[in-house]
Amino acid sequence: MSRWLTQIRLAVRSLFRRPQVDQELDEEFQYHLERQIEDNLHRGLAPEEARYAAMREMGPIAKSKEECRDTRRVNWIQDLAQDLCYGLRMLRKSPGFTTVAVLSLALGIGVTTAILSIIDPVLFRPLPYANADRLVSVGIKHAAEPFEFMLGNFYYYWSDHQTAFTEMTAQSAVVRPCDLTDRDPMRLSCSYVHQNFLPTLGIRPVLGSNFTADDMLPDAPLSVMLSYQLWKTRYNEQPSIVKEVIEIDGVKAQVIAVLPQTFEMPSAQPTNLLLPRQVDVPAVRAGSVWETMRAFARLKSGVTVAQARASLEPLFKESIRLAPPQMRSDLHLVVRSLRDRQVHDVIPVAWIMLGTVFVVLLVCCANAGSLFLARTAAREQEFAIRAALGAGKRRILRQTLTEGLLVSFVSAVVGCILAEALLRTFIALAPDGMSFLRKATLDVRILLATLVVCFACGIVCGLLPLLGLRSVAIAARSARPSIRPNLRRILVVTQIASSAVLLSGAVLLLRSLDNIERQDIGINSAHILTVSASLSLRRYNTTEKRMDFFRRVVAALRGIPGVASVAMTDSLPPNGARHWYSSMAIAGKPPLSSEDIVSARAVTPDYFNALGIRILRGRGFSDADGGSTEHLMVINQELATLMFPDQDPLGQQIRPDKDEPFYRVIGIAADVRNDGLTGRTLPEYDTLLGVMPDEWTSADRNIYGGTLIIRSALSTKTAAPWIRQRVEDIDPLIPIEVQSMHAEISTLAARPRFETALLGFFAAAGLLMASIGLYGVTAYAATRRTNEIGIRIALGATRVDVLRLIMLEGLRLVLLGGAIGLVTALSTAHVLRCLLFEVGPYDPMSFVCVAVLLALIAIAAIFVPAMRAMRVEPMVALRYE
Amino acid sequence: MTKPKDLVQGTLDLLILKTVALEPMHGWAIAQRIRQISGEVLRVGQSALYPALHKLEQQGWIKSEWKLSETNRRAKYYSLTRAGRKALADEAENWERLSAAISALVRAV
Repeated sequence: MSRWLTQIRLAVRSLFRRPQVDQELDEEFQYHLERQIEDNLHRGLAPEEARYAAMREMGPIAKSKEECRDTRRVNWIQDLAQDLCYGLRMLRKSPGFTTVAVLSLALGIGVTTAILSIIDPVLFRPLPYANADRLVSVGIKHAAEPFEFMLGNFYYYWSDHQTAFTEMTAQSAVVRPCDLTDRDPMRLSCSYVHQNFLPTLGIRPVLGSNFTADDMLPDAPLSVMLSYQLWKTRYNEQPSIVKEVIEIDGVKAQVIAVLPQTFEMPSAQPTNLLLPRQVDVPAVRAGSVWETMRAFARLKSGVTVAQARASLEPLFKESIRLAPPQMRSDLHLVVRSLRDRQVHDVIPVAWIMLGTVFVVLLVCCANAGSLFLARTAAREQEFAIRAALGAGKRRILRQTLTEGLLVSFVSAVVGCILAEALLRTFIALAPDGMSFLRKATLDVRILLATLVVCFACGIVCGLLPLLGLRSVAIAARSARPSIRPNLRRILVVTQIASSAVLLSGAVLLLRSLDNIERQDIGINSAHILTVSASLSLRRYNTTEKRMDFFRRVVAALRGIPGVASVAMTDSLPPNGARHWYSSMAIAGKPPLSSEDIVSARAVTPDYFNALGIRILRGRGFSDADGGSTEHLMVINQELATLMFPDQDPLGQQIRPDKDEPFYRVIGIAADVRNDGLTGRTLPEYDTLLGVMPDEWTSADRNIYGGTLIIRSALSTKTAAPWIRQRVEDIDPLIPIEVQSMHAEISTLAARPRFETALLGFFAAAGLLMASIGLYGVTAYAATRRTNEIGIRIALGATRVDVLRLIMLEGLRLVLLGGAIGLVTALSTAHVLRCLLFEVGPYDPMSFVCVAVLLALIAIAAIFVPAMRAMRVEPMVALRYE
Repeated sequence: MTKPKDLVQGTLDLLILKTVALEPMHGWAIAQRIRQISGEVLRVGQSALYPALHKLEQQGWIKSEWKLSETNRRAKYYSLTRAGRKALADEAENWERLSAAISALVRAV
């Protein structure tokens, strides 16, 4: 024990009392020398002679002292301090190298961390439910709807007979906008859930308790749960909120609970209020009340998702026997883990980003490596001299390793800052559809992992000189390039190839984005303002009230000076309500068999005029049609061709659904995008929103929300206050949103724009790195060959010959790297298919662009050092050695 | 002279430990003592002696303190620690065994 204490004491002493310890060492040797001199004097030597003899006898004292110092255990710390000082000095002396190396690695760290921090919550984050991996989403899939859904009668039948789940629960299919109307009205999102919803997910409210069975009865007094965020922002986290009564859409509701901060709907829809789904269960069971929902269930222990699916299959078959036969083949049973459902459409994007990030990281590390190689080559002389002065191979390696780690360390710091900045930028750029992005924060684990990669890179960079140290002794005298230039070439080829891959992706996305933005969506969006409003379900509980509101708003807006026309629609292109084609019918024709989706829209007569949609045949709606008892319909070109391939559609009678009347087709309108910006144009029919209340309702949709289309030369800024004023005069509690049509469409393109910006950023970073690498390699080669160039010029070579000589060397790398890159890009381009719009993954134009761009940048990177080589003065070059 | 060629590797440690086991001693005295006791056969130069002393000190087998020497000057005196005493016993035993083995071998040949 005491031995360890002694050792620690010695270590501490030699670390912190170094001058004293060194002085004692000197003293000890001095004492030895003096005793030796005395001894010699005793033996009768002259004083001078005695001194010399003693010194001779003692030999090289400095070396012995160094050996004594080496026995100290803390020596490495002092060596490290020395290496650090020296390394810092070296880095400061070559700011160019340091900056580029640090930026390369920092960019690698920053990009990787930021992107993985975004992807990780999507792919791997724990869902905020108890044993979330046992939760599944259960439902029916139809082409018209991206997510599986459930029908009320199916749901009750299945939950009675299923054997795979411990519990099944459901929420209403749509999250509805609702208004808090007690004081300062506020627009919120309301979700309606079943009584066992929270228990099934394993969620306990932070305050209050779950809904009771009585809360679920139709006509029961309304109870409500608040989201944590709402509780915090609106009610200042007062615990007394529970039991208080608030007003939702004009109806009193008692707050019974506050949800946990981490709560989110399993359907990932943002929600502020959770309300009980009050339905007449027997009626739903019998199928007499139509109810669509999203169902979730908890697997029994030991049951897999596949087993659960298999056990539900008979129930599913049983249920869809009731559906019309032509629809049956279109419905599929879906049972999948909650995570699969949640990451649904972002998975391909996430994987593409992940791949891209690794390529960027590769390029960054390659760049740092290549810089270090160049530097090692330039320092061969220094290493040789140090080796000659007695530095061991290990000591030199330790020095270069320290420098590598120093660069890594500085890069790590810069990289962390960069990561945070990039993450914030990405979040700011992210479109609304990528809501998962907003929650992203820098993930410490990922940061650590990236730092490990970065430090590994630093270590490898630091150890690179090892490759050449064998020849260190002769390196000082020989100009023969060792194997390192080859390694550098390989690195540069890798960089060029990687950036070619990134560049191809970016160019493809750019072309696709260009197609999206320049496509003709069929409407004239200039000078159009849109006003969206949605009515409260409770206060506007009859069709008459809703119609009255919208008709008054349309009339009021017409009165604003500068407004040319005002129309109203229940859905604004390029969106549209979905309808099943197979449930439609043509008078006097057999049932339709094609499985397709139709877009359905209800519009006021001015709709076509306001949006500039051409009527190809027949006529559009007129104000006079409003009063007629006949039902009228305008169909688009697509539907006309689909329904009446060899007949005149005008005058035909179409019934959208079996409960509805027949509509007479009076016109054919030009196609307008109605399935988002990138979807194909769906067949569409438009019905009239006139003066009859039954026109404001249909079998599957009631018009609570609508969009007013205003054609006007006024800017959004000028018109918005007027519009708000007019709407407020009619009903001050209806929140509205005023936007220009351009902004509306632009929002839809936000996601492709975001993806393109990301990939473009990566490609630019990669390309920058590659050109730095290429520049470095060429400049190095040119410097190496200065002597040779001098001789060539002296022997009569022209400057152009020299230029060609140097450039060819670089171009070889570019050609090789470019070829590898393009082949890789072509063989991986198919993964981008899901992101591309009207451009193939093998679009020749894009790849030609990539090749040309790459060549131009590469040539520029080569040209600068080649020019410098060309200007070499033969005399200077010959005196080079 | 530098390293005594005829000193088997590791035996210098044994010699030092044995020497300082008697009484605290400074470096020069240790060198002298080894020379005297070995009858001028073993000559330990400072280049081998001091690194060895420092190493043994770092290992905790000997400890040092500054004292006035017989010539009335400050000198660094080394003495055996408890761990060193045990190490000396081990080393000595090893040495006995090794030298016995070697002499047996030499005699046999």
